[in-house]
Amino acid sequence: MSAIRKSIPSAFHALALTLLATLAGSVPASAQDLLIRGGTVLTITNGDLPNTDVLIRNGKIAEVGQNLTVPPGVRVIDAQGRYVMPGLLDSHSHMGIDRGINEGSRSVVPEVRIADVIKHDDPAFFTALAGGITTIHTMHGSANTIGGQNETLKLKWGRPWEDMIIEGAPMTLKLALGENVRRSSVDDPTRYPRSRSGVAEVLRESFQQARDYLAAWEKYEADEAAWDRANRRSRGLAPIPPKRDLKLEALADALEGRSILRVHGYRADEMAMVMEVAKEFNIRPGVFEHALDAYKIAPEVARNGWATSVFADSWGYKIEAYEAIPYKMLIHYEHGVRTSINSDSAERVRRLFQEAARGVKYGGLPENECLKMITINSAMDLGIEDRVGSIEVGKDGDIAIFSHYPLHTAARVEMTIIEGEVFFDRSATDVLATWTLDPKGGEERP
Amino acid sequence: MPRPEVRRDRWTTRWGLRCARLACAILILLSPTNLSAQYEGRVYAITGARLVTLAGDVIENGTIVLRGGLIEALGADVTPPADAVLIAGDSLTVYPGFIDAFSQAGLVLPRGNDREFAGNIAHRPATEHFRADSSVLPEYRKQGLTAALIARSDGVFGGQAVLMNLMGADVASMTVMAPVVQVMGYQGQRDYPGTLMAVVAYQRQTLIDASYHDMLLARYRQAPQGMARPPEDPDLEALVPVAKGEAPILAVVEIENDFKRLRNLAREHGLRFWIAGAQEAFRVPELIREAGAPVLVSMDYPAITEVTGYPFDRAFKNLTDEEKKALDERDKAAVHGNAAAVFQAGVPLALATGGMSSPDDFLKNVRLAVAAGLPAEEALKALTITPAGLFGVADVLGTLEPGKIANLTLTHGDVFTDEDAYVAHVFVDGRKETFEKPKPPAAGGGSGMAAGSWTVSVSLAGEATAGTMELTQEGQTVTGTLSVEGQTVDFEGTIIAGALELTGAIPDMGSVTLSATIEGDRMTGSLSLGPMGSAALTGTRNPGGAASERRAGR
Repeated sequence: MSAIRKSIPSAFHALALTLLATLAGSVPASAQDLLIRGGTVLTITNGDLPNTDVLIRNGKIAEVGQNLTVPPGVRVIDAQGRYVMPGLLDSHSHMGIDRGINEGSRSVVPEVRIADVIKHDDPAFFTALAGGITTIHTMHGSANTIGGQNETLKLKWGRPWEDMIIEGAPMTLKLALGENVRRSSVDDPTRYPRSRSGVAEVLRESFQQARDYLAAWEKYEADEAAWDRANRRSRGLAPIPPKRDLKLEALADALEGRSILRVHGYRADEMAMVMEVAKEFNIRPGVFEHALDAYKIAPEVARNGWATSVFADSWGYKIEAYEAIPYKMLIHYEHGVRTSINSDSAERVRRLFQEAARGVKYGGLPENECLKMITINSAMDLGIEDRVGSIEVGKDGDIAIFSHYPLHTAARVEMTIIEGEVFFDRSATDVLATWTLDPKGGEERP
Repeated sequence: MPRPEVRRDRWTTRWGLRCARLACAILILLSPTNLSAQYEGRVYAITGARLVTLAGDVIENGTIVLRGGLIEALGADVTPPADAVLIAGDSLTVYPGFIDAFSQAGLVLPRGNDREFAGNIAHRPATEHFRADSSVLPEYRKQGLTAALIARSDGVFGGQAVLMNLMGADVASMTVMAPVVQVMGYQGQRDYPGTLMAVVAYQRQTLIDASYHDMLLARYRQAPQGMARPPEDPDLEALVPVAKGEAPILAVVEIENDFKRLRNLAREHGLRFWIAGAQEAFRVPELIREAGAPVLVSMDYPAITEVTGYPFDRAFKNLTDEEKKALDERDKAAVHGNAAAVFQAGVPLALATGGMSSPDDFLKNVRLAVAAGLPAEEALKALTITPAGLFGVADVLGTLEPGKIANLTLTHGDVFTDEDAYVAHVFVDGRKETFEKPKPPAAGGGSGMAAGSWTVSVSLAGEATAGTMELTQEGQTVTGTLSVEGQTVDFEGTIIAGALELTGAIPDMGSVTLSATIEGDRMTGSLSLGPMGSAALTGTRNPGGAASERRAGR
């Protein structure tokens, strides 16, 4: 069979047969096909649809509607009386990183990549699935002014890490401000910066180096082109290229808009500083992580096009965090600052929907806005909103099925589906089993 | 208790002569000018043995002659020369000396606050930290290992691996081939790179730097005028052949994702590589097959709970005890089947101790690998001709052929399949070491009990001699005798909490002290011989009464 498939004419033949089968409505079911029957579908972007079916074919949402026909062989999941929502996204996590989340030896290490060190069998991935999470953004820590390149993963528990990576998701780069960066330098007498103004200086210096680096390459390319055109007898030796520098390349990616800045920041003045630096270097607006005092400058944040990814209501755990308020999500919403709610924790990630419910508690944020903060807004943080974050035809078949409305106190996740495959099924899980999670897994001081 | 009479005259003469001879040997060995004395001058002929030459058929009843550290002759019809010490080999199998293909034997690396930066130390040989007199080397030889590829395990580009013979006077004379290959690992350093993610970034940048450095040097040689002089960098220069894909790099990998990190780096930079350690090779057989790279498989078996993917089938699953047990058995079989999986991938396979906390279980773990599907003849090749070929020493090691280095491993029984088989002797550069048959644990005795009949081995300056001790004990008081080569000396002293302290006297030589720790039926310690220095002493309590072991080869 495999030998037949390898030959090109046969492949065309097979394709033709497949097309015919599609027209006849009888495509053979794949492992990534599912029909979720009769639930209340919370589309996030298109309202709540009672008693509605969601059909997933080949991992993508193929149809959303009532009384859909079950294609032959496709597994049907009964969701009557349940709530069907897009799989949740955790926009800020440190799970599944092998041997260290902070390269704290230097304050500027954009060359390090989380993609190199994914620990795909971290059991926290599974407990996150049990909380309806399908996508995480797992990040370098906040010890450095410029940390490393983060990674966006689908929690395909049991699969190799390459299968978890979302191809084409934009690169994101971790930056950090304030206490965490400062205190990391206090512990290490050789490290700079040790003050908030030093952090600003390091940012400007680093991006200037990246600018110079790009300029050096531009000059080299011009010189080389001129040398190519010059008389072969008299032109001398070819120009010497600059050395490739992976640190500066990563910063140049940010300068040229290929990566999204994810900036750990607490104080309003520091976030204002970063927005200024970004303007100076013409860097596209990114996302402020935690952003506890961003409510104080919400109009400015909105005007500059930055977004925030926050804790629902954690505050007071360090000096920087004393002026935070839980009404910030409402204030951001009213000023048009896009906000996501993150966990930053292998524990909190299991109940991100409960965190989202705090938006209703503090100031009466509309329910769907709360749900956006753990779905489509997070997807926009990551630049993957065309693939995930809502239930729309053509998007990935990433679904969480809840027992109750997700913001209800009794809500729990019954099933979590990624690209049409069931990765968590409460009925097949021993939820009372004891399983030791790495006690420090995915945690850092926030 | 009446003391036996000390046979003063014979003891004085023989022990004195022996000590004098050893002293001379030590002096000669230490002398840098006397090259011939680096190797055993004695001529040996092992007769009537089964010779597994790996260079033709097995010779069932043959003789092999060693002279001047080399194999002089072997065959079914070879007559032992008149000057040879004869070793009756009628129950012995002679193999080419086993090679430990990736090892930290004898390496003593600075630790703690003294730890060196080993990010890129590519121009430095591992032997900088090799101790020829390391007390662990006899433990490797006891596993039949006569040579080892010594590589640092604390680096990123951690320097050059060196092929060493595992018995000899000093690093220089033990070195067989240096350097063999550059070593790359994933060990974070005290400074940058500290984390694994930074190590990978550092690997990428260092390879880029090496290629760039090479380009600058070439340019400077071509036209130095008008160009900034490239700074000297021996570590980058040493990596140039690796960065250009001309020489392989030996990558120390352990878990599944290490293999992928390595493959991805090799793809990005056009590297050729060998794989060492490779404890989870069985999880990535396709990757290994596609890479086609030699794998130097560690006989370190990780606990199944440590193996990548352990939680996948178990975490929060409704499993019965039987199902859990079946999963554990499956995973254990996979771990033991690691070397077999590499063999089935069709790539060159060698076996190694690297990564093991001690070499003591090496042959036992080789047997587990064979039981899990690695053909015994392949295990033998993986210890001999395969590593010899990889390391570029096939003309001097790896088979039994005239003219090759006299590295031999002599076994009682088939060490690849039989638990009771053991290494009876090794020869390294023609120098012989003899091992006693391991004793099954004796009934009685126990920690802190000295009484009984002991088989001991006394080794001075690399030369081991077998002997016996007979000890009796009343409370903490111990008396008894030590007999070596038919000579006997009386001792008395104490044993307190397992620590044995005995003193005796050799006429005309003064006092001798014996200090040893007894755990169960094993004794380890030293014999202090006054001006002659100290000899290492190990012993095993005989199961019952004095042993009447045949002392092979003497």
